[in-house]
Amino acid sequence: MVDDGYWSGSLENYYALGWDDFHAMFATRGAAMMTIGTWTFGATAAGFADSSDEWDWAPFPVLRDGGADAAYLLALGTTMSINASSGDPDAAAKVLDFIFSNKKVVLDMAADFNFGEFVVPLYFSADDIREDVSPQVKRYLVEFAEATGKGDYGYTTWTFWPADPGVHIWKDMEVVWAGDISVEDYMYDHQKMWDKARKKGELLPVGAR
Amino acid sequence: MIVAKYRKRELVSNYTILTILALTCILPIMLLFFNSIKPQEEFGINPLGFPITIRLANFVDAWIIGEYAQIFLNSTKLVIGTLILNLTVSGLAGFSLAKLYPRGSNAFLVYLLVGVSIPAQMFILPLFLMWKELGLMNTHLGLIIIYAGLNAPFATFLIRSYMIQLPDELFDAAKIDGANTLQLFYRIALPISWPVFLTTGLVVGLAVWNEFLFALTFVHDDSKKPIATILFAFQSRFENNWGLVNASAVMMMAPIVILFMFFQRRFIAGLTSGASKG
Amino acid sequence: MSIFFSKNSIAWYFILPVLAVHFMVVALPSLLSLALCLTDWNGFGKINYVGFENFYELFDDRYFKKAVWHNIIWTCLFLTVPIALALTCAYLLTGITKGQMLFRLCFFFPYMLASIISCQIWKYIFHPLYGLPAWLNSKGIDLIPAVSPFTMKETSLYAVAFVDGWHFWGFLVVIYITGMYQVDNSLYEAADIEGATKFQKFRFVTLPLIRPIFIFSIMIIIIWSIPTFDYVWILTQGGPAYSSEVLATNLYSQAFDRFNVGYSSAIGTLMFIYTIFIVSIFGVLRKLGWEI
Repeated sequence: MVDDGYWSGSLENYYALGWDDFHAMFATRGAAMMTIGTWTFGATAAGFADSSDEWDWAPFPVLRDGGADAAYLLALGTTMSINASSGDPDAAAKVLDFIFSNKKVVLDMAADFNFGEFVVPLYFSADDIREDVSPQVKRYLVEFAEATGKGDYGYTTWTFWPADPGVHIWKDMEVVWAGDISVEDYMYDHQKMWDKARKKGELLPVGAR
Repeated sequence: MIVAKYRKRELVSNYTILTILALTCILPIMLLFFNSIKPQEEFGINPLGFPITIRLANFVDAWIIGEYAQIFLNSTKLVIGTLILNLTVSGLAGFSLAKLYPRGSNAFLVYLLVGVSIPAQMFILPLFLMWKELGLMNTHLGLIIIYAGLNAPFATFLIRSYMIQLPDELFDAAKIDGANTLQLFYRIALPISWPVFLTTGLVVGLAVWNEFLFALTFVHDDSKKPIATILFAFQSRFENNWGLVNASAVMMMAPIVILFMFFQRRFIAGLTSGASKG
Repeated sequence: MSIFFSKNSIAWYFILPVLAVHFMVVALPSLLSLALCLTDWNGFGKINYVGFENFYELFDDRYFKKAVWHNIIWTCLFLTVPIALALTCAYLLTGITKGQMLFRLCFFFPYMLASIISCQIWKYIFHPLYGLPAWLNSKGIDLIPAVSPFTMKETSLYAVAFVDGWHFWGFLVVIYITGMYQVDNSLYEAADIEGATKFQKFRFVTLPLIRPIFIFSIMIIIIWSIPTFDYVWILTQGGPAYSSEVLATNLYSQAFDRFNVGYSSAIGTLMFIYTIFIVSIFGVLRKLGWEI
């Protein structure tokens, strides 16, 4: 697929094109689709604002047999937490409570970012979402809630993997693409990193589904 | 000053070579200027040429969005602060190494030289932690101390190599008159050495103005950020308007270029005297 | 009491401020960092002593070895091309009268630019959509393919070296010109009388007399090429596929991307030893009488 130019036109283009380049290409029919996360909702919607074309999204298919219909991956884009060594954790807790006390305000703020940047930790229904939020984003919120409600979600590497394999998966992948290393050797290296992280107790805890 | 006389034929070929090289240096920079006054829409159709429409408002927009007034102030503060600290401590040291002959000065010079080649990445993390403990994090003072330290070797070497040439008789005469060492420094050495201090100031000032890595690491408040980080901010994913990015690059270089035009000889003299006396 | 005011002590008091500042900013953190090379610290957890394990791992680390090799290539590149160009330019410049200042300004201009600006300029010129090759292709001139050299593993290191060289060589030109100005005119005239060609005059008059400056430039290039980082990181981050990785970028990504602080300190230690080695060579040469 890469050699045929389906991806950015060429491997070199993939390296050279940046955020604005590929958004511009997508908005002007230069590219058929982008593989990217929900954080792009804002930029994408803006890119299509003046165009007669419409955009939409689809979840990644699950590649193995017997898996769910679609892959939704949880990342941690933003976190508001109480520092364990904070001098006044109760006060911090109060602040957090206050921030999320007014559902309408919170949803308003999230709507301004097209809901792509962060998951809102409140109960809300489809009716609570502001009118002017694009239908694509609304559909995302509803379907994502359904999927996660069923426990059908996974985790992104950059949030939940230990550092070494987390970097290895995207940085050293370039070496595989360049043909400098075989896939077997790459996976072998990868496994070694996981073993090392496991030994050092550096695996990140994930919450129960 | 003509060092070697050339025949006419040679002259033409010389000028050709020089012009070609000069163009390779200048044309890319001209491109930067052109792009800084191009409106964003034009980049798709005319990426490299002289702008079809000139949009000077790029500079205004960049100034406002980037809050240039504040940024310029920050960078100027950093430059002046660094120069005050750096020129003082390096001046004293340079004077001592040149005229007071401390024992073990060779070892000290080697220490400085080695210091130049330690990659910043190696000590930036411990330095970060140290600065946090000392409360110097996110302050201009903290950054000034860092810059003074980073530029200390160059400044000390330069000042020393200049002061070495100062005639001893001046100092001997003053000593006979009863001057102590400190007075020798600020009454005799300092006034005569103003050229090297000016030059050091220019070179160190340039380094501080253009410095990026430490500024990015040690200053986080937007209100305190210096100018190098502004370019970086423009390249973040929400703001990559080529016209504005280039306009801010031009604004960043403008003070340096102006200073350079005025102080050309000093700039050059400073770099070269470091080389010839090393 | 008098020892506090001896000539030597006073001389050292003058040096103390700069020593203190520099030590606190550079030496002390570096020493701490060196100490970390014997640990497996990840920047925030516990610090465990692991002896020389990091160094054994480095021996097997194929990307570290690539980085070492790339640094050597980098040094060689910078010891040849910019020096040759700068010498030529400086020599030619000293022979003309008109436009000297203008030429000097042109050559020195890139040196005044911050690294991010130089990188921005050249990244743009080589951009596959907006850059020079793309523009030429759109006009039908298909000599150069519209591929950015920063994105091809065969050319990435050289492309980055080109940009850094473009920025740096003006500094060399300026240094060499100053050195050449100090050469006595009469020597050239004597050579003219003997019928020397331009090249011979350069080789037998100019070059020997600018030797101190020339040796200095060699030393400074070698020393400055060891921690080279800015241009590589901004343009390619050491990629693609580690094809432009150098020691400093390897150190940086190990420390700040992968949180292998102990490991990266080991890289730093090796860089440090390398530097000491180079500096000592020059020190030895100096002792042997070479003017440096």
